[in-house]
Amino acid sequence: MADEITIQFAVTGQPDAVRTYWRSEPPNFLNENGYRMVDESYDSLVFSRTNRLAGIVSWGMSKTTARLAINFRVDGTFTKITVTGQAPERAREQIAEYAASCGGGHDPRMTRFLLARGYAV
Amino acid sequence: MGLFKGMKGMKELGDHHGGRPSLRSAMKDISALTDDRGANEILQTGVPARAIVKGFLAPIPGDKFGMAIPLEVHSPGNAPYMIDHVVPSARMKTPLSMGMEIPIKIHPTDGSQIAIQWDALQGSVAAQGGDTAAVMAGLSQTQAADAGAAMNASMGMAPGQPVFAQPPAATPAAVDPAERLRKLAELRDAGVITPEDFEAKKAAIIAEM
Repeated sequence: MADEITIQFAVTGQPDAVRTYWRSEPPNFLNENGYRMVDESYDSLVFSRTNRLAGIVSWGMSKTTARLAINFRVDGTFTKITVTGQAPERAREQIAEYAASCGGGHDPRMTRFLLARGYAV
Repeated sequence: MGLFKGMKGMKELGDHHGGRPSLRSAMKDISALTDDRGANEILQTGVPARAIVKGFLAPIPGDKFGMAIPLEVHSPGNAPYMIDHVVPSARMKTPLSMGMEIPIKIHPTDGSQIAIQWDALQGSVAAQGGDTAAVMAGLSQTQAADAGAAMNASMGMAPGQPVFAQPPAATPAAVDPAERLRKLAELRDAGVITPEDFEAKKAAIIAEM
């Protein structure tokens, strides 16, 4: 689907601490693109943004809400962060830049797909 | 593909599925399909928790838009307990399979009512490598026997009854002994089996007669 993104990268620290930090200080790619936290679970935060202009222009027929689920999972002394959901192009670029600043990101579904078929990843 | 061709195609598709329902019936279906069964309210006011899927989604007789699934609810500060949760099918965003750990919220005053946090679950599934990987990880968390028992239960079958009927295995005795001896001789002559193998098999076949 359009505007979809799934990317995984690692940061230092344990998942609970990283999740707590992200809840209180969301990264710029969320704040600058109008995402607000709408839900949280034991291992995830969910952010949502509303595109009011698209809703008005299309008389409410266009998709006006985009959600990003952010999962925090332990990986040794690191936390694996997975961002998945919908984001406009600018936000997707910023997320990719953020992942690159953490050492690089990848789509875990694609990695899994390639590994299952014997490709070196 | 013009408008009339499209309309004709829609009519054929409707006929294929038993004809179009009455307007009243269609409205009832739309209403049932979009009913969240209280999930949104629980997501707004409920207590975050986790649940382990203990079986497989099963259709509910007489309910076209709901599926039942057994969950073991792990509520903070309480002992785990089982519920049979009805999932509004149209709300599903990921697979639900035995052994998966899923984020839920519990109704503040009624522990039997829960709602699945689908968005958070999507994040968890993606982190594991996608739908198939999450399902396989869940199954690997459980015993094969438990999975078989859960599958039987979801299909209304007795414990121990195989999920799929197995065709009767073809036994060597079902084949004509003379034919088996001829084939054995061919294998011996072709050097595939030794004369000693041939004699041993021949004796066994004769003993079966």
